[in-house]
Amino acid sequence: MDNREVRSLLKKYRMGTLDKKERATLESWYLVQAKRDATIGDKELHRNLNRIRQAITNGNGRSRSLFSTLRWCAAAAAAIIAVTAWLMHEVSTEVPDSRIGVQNDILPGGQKAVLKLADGSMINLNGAQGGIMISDDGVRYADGKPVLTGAAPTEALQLTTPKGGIYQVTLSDGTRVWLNAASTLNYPARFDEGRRVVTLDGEAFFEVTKGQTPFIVRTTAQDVTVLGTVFNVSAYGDEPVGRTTLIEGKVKVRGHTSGQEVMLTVGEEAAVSPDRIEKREVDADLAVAWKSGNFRFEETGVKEVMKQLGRWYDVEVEYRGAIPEKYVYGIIKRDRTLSAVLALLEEGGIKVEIDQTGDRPKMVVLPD
Amino acid sequence: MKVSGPYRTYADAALVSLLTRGDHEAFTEIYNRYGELLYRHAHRILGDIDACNDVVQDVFLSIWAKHEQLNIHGALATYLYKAVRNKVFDHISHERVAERYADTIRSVVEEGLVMPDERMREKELLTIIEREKAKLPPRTRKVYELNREHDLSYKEIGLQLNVSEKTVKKQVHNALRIIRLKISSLLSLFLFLF
Repeated sequence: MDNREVRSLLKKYRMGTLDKKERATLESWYLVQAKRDATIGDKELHRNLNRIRQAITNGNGRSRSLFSTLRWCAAAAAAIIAVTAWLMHEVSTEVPDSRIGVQNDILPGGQKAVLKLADGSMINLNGAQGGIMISDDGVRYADGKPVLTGAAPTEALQLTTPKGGIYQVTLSDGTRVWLNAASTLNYPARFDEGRRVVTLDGEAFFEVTKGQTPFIVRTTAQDVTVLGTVFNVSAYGDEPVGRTTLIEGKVKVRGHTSGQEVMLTVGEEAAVSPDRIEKREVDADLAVAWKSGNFRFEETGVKEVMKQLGRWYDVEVEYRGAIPEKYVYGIIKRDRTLSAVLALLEEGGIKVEIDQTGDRPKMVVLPD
Repeated sequence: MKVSGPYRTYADAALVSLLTRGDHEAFTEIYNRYGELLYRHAHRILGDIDACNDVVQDVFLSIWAKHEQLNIHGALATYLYKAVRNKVFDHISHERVAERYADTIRSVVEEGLVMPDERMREKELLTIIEREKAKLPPRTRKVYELNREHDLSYKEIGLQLNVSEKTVKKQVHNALRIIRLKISSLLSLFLFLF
């Protein structure tokens, strides 16, 4: 078969005059192609899915897509693109993102935390630094600059992030912990012989160094025990269920109230409620998206979405009427301003107003 | 950013029934449910992002444009996949695009990969659909499993829609009657013109 025969085959398809054998060829080609191993990046996929979603929602007329039309005007396009790029460059250097849109827009969270020592004194940690660690002569920032010098502290320390804060701490055994917003980690400057225990209120991501002794994360509802592994614990006081998601290694989760214990393997999550622990397979990326700087929603209800936004942007949430019964799917970068994020939700039919009239800003969610 | 409403728990057949009655939210839910699957499928076949966008967009625009006349026997997934296949064929048979796929079409013949039996090809397509659904992340996959029923009984559609079985039956019959009337009036108009 040569190219000419292929072209005539396709022409016959257009005319609707394919015979059985020719149809068999075309459909078989389709099946062979369908079994190829072509992958497409998630970001690109969702970007295009969103584009199409907009086109089919608004499109009553059939826009013969922009995409193929652009390709047609190859020569003109080159010129257009060059001019556009120049224009966009001019525009983008003049107007930083946060100034577009709402006046007094609400900025996203950043690196902020407070370290409280055993004697009660508190140190506001430097936002330019992302993390701290214990050293022989005190506490230092990740780059070595001192937070506190003198003898190495031997007692209990407490790291707290405010709403809108995120911070990292390296413990004395080398374990690294990333604290999400509105969270508190209590940990000893030096671990006891026999075991390593920390307590958590809020959410943190742990990279526990392999040790001789078990490492235990204690929250109000559960104990998570590991030897050396990577996992995320979400235990906010305002959530009914505490979740532990395993990224690497093995952990044991024990519910305080139920007394139940489960072992997790990679890709599993334990959801701890007072009466039991539920184990299930999850997309771990979802649970730790916050650490990579993203909100990630997968069939997430409006209430939970608002809670996460509230914690990161440090705003209260109010519902004017019934909570809309909607479920969100998507990835949003956490460095956007609040109005940018709300604009995205609005596209999906979730309307939220920002009310700055009181002494604290709040989001008002409108009913369906 | 995809947002689903209460329709996300509805069975495919229920969504189709709502769609044919002009429910745009059901249409959006169908896109939310199958968009990614179809897109990935189209991408495996065509390899070209622009082409995929055209194909998937066209499939859904067509479905909305003719939602009143839609006649979907069997599974929604199969219908959608075949719609994509048709648009793919439409796409590759355009003069300026044909070149790109000529080699692969030729090799299917040369390597003896042509399946002459139509029923076997159909079966193969269904297998591919199942395999692709299985490749999705667990939570999304569950939605497909819940909706695997090909012919949802009237009773089940009713339960999903909180409507009595009799009402569903009546509505379907009404819809069919309207369609029949429309077709016959269209035909008589047609005949009149000629």
